[in-house]
Amino acid sequence: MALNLSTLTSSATSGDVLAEALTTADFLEPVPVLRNLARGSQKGGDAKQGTALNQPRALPYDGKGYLYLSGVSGNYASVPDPLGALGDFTMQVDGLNAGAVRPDGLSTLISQYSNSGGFFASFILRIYPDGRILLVLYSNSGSETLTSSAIPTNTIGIQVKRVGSNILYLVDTGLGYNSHDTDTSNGNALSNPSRDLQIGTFNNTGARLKGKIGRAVIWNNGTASGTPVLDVDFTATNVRHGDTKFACATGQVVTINQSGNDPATVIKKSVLRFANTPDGSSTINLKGLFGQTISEGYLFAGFSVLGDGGAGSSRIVSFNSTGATDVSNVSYIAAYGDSTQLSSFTGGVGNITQHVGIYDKANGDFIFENKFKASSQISRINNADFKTNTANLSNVSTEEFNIAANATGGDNAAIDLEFLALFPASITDDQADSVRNYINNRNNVFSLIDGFGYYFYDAQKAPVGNITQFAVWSGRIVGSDNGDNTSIFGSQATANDQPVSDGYVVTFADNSDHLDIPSTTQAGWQVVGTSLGTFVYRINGTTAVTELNLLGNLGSTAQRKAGDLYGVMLLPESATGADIESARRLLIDRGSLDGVAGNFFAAWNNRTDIVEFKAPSMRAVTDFKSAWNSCTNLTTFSGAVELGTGVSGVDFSYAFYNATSLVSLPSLDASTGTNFTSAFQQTTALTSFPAGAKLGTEASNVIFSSAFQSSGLTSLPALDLSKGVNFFRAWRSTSSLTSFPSGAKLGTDTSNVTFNEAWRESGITSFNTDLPTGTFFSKAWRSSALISFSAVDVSKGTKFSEAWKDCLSLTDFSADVFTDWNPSSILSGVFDLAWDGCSALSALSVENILTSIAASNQYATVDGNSGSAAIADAAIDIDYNAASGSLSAATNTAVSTLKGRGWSIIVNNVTL
Amino acid sequence: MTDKTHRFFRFSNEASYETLTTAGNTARSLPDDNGTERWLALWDNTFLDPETSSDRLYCVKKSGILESDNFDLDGIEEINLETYLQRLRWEPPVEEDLELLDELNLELPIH
Repeated sequence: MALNLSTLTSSATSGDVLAEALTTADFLEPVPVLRNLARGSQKGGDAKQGTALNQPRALPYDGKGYLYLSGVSGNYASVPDPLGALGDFTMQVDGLNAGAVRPDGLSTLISQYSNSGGFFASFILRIYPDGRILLVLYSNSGSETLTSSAIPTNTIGIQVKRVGSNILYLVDTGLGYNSHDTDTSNGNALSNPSRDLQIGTFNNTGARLKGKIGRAVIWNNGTASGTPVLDVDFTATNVRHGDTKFACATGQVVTINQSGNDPATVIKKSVLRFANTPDGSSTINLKGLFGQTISEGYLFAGFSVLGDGGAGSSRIVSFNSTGATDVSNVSYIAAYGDSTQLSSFTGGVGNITQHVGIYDKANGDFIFENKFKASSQISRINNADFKTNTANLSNVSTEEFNIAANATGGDNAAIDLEFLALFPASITDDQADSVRNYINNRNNVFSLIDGFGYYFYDAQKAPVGNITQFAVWSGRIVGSDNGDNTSIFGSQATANDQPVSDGYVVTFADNSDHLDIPSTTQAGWQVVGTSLGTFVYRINGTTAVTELNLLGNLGSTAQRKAGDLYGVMLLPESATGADIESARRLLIDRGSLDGVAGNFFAAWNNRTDIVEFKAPSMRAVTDFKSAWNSCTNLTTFSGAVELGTGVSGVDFSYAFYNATSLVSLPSLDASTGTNFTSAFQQTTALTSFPAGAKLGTEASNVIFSSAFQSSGLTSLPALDLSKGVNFFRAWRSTSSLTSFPSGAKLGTDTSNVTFNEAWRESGITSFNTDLPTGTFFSKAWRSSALISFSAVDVSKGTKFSEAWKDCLSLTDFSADVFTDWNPSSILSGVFDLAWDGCSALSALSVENILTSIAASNQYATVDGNSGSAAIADAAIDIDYNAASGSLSAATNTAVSTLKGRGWSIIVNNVTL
Repeated sequence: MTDKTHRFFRFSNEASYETLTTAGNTARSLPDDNGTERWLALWDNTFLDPETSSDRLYCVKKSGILESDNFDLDGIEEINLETYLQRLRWEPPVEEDLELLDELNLELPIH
């Protein structure tokens, strides 16, 4: 059954919902009571804390997000020097809370100041406790201190502008920026130190801000116009809850520096902060009474770990019998953290379920669920990492509950609590699914990536520096049933081939850089985020892969690409489009290029693990040569269809060569392509081609040599290949192609087009396509399955040697094929062996051939004119089926005429 | 990967390559305790020169080169990035349209 909020809190489904973290608390407000939202008749009590010092604090989501700063040393945001030497400038800080504009002590909003290894500073923007703005500016000639009058207590934004020597202070109290005060500066250009810009402190630790900031922006002009030099916007959608590094709008990587158990945090979800210290000196917690005896239950808790996780065996939730400790055999600890292990526990038995490596701030927020019954227990992290036990909990009998504390108030966890609920153990699996989904839908705690993905090589979790055999990159994901093991470590033993991590991206500097991974054959969706683009492939479960590189797995060693990698995920095959998009979006939010640009020569060449390629926007790609060459298991190419359309002169040669499993293509727009040589050659499973495909239609002199040679085509739409100039072997050996569209445009918008061997050994049985610009037709239809050949336009042909040779089924050759023949030149051997071996050709066809050539009035000379230089080989070679009849009088007349023009007519090896 | 950050080589003598890498490993005290076993890739893990099918191609990061590294050995040829990439992209000649080439040559005297 579906479970929504109303049923979640109704007596029908829950008698014991403990709490739902945060509904109405204000920023940093101490929370003395966490209301029990259960409405059933057996509803228990609220969670309470009567001692103000021990009350958790609210960090509510305000609808946009912000950076929370605790005022504790080591907690601030920093950006590598983004400024340059500022002359005129505008500095702006938005999203401030009341405490930030009336701080307890002098507080820093933003600064660029360091006295480490010398003195380096350009400015500090601060607030006095009385609300005055303090701006200190540093130049090569010294410093100056500027001060405003006190800003309003309801100020949410501060802006300082300098134009020349004029300083203007503006404030935003919710109505936009308005002038507040003025001052006079010396106007000197600020120093240009190559030091971090810091938000919330200066010099790493000075005059720290306690409060929140939504955005910090600096322009290098006094009008706040144009693109700023720095725009750190914590409200931006690409900045996620708990992010510790992200690329800001102006491109710089912002680092959230964290220290201790009340760390600076990007808040995009409402949390209740239990900032307990590791030494037990703080006892922030909530307690309550069930109002009944609880011996079994099903607990759901959404939370993240702060700092080292708190004191002792840090309790997240425990239940105790009245007067008993929570470690007695009548009590039950539903969740506690010890080192990085998250466990449940009961006295006399010990740990019931254990999740290794989970109680760790690095894991961000997750959903822990724990069902405890008298003889069976289960637990999961993010609906994965399933643990079970059958311990005897028949003694458990509890009346009190504790959040972030044991029964006596100690062992306090340091956590951000998002959700906590206790249901009867009798809820069904479907109901449990609904509860989990409800929590997750509301808080976006985990995605498929976290719970069921096979791996996530997260660049932010790669070891900083060279990745070696010891400093390995783990593809671990939180709570995964599949990826949370040591078998997916990426390592590199060769110094010269080691990618390098800066803690944000992993850089592959050249085509030697790669990581070795243990052989794996997991099928799924590989999502790859790089500086070259963000890619999605479905990979099979049969091709063993042993390498991780910039674009995923190994294709061609020499053609590995160089660039920055933001992460590689493998989602299960069952992932939905939304799941895949979510993963792709996460990588893009971190800086991965949304789209693709550059040269992708042989990028996925020989990637035999790829079965489906979901193309991103590839409009800016200049070279697709051999991009999917020999991807022998690639069946489907989907997604964006514009390939290189944003640039010109694009090379598609060998793009899908030997993609022998490819069964379909979308209506590709490759209109700017100039070279399609062998582009679809040997695509033996490709039986049709999209009618809307655009191949070179916006280019000129396009090459289609061998483009579809030996493909599996059984039909072809009337493609517009009008810009083609060379169709050498374009459809050669397409034995399943039995017809050719009469409306196809082949080189019709250009001149001197080559069709040599174009349909040689093809399966076409008839031909009715005009080729008015064709000049070379040697072996064009040789050994094909032609039965009939219509009166098409080949009027510009200069050579037809062996054109229909060995067409064993060719019976009917239409009249008038050469009637309008008028080439600019005639080459020696123009009809050499042209109809040689045509053993089925009718006598009438011989008449049609010779009478039409005669009708053209062309002489066997280099330009077809009488009196011009004769061509060396003027033979017209025809074999025909003598049983179809004798040569007609009209034939004989034509022969006489042609001989008079210098031609030599040889029929069935007899010169007439 | 640029000529400023990398050096590019064509190796035609495996023994010289082994001399280079062995001396390089010694100079760097490899294998070390930091998970690095060798300076340069094993011979078979460099890139086969597609034109010769015997020579090897490889790029070396300048940041990892020591003054003591001796590339001046028989069968070690330094090339630039452009040549390196060209050689890696080299493909065996495809079957040309000889018919067309012949005819184009024949046409030349006419024009």
